[in-house]
Amino acid sequence: MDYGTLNPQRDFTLHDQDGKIFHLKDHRGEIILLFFGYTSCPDECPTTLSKLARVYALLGPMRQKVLTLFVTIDPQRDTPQKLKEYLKYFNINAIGLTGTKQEIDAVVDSYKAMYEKVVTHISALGYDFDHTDNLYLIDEQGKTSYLFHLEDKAKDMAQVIKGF
Amino acid sequence: MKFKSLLCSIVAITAVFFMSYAQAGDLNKNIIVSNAWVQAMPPSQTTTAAYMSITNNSSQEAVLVSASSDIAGVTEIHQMSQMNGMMKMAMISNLHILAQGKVELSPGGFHIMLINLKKPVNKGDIVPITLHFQDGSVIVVNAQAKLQQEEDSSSMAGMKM
Repeated sequence: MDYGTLNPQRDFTLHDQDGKIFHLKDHRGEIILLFFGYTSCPDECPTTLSKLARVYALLGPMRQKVLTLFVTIDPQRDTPQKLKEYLKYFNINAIGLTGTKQEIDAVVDSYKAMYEKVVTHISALGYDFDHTDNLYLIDEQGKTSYLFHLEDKAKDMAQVIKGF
Repeated sequence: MKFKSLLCSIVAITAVFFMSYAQAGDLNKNIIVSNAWVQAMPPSQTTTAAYMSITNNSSQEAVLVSASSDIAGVTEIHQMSQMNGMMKMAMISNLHILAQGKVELSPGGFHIMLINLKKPVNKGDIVPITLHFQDGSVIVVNAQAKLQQEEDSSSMAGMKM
């Protein structure tokens, strides 16, 4: 399957966890692993990040050129400081990205991802998000080239990444 | 003869008494909780998830109706599911474990949600979680905080080394 139709412009603009502007096109030559989530996510986001920690360990020296981008779908609660602290905890080469809802939605749409804020009246959580769990591999030329899913194992993912 | 039949009656009544006593609330002995772990989270996060395997060795269905933990202001049971390609999370009020059955609480499926954490859950911490069952049984589980679950743990379970 040709994933190149996902963000064919090979660029997007958001703000990073240090408040600086971030352009995807400034990261040619790096392999990017991008996914959408939020720091209050109790299940699939920490699971994905923990798995990535293992993937990075398996990549060995190649890990230097693999950059994980965590784009928040909850800019209201996920301040840049919170993103920074959250990602640092998982000990991987990652940058948290945020922006206005419009800016984030533009990126979500370009990768054909989806999310929905769900207000709950029974749970003490208040609200949480339904969201797609795809992890997008963007190659050194900025082309979306592979899609990982929650059930993929770390060693298989490392194998795929090594092939790029 | 009279004494013998009286003795038999006493034995029979005592046996029935013990049998019925054993059937009420004996889930504690027949529920095995294993591989309990909690997702370790950065200090700024006030929510996390706990996972475990619950095996029901009794002849009756077990129903988990709630959970509690001193570390969390609120503890709930949640289920993840896929709908329209999206992962959805929903609070559930009970979790059924069939007689002679087993339920896995694992990422992407069921979990116990610990909400409004009173202190951070760091890797290596032991978090006691109390499971409350419909029949009144209460089981305390010591879940270990981890950054990730070992990938091979499910294949290792049950293997005789």
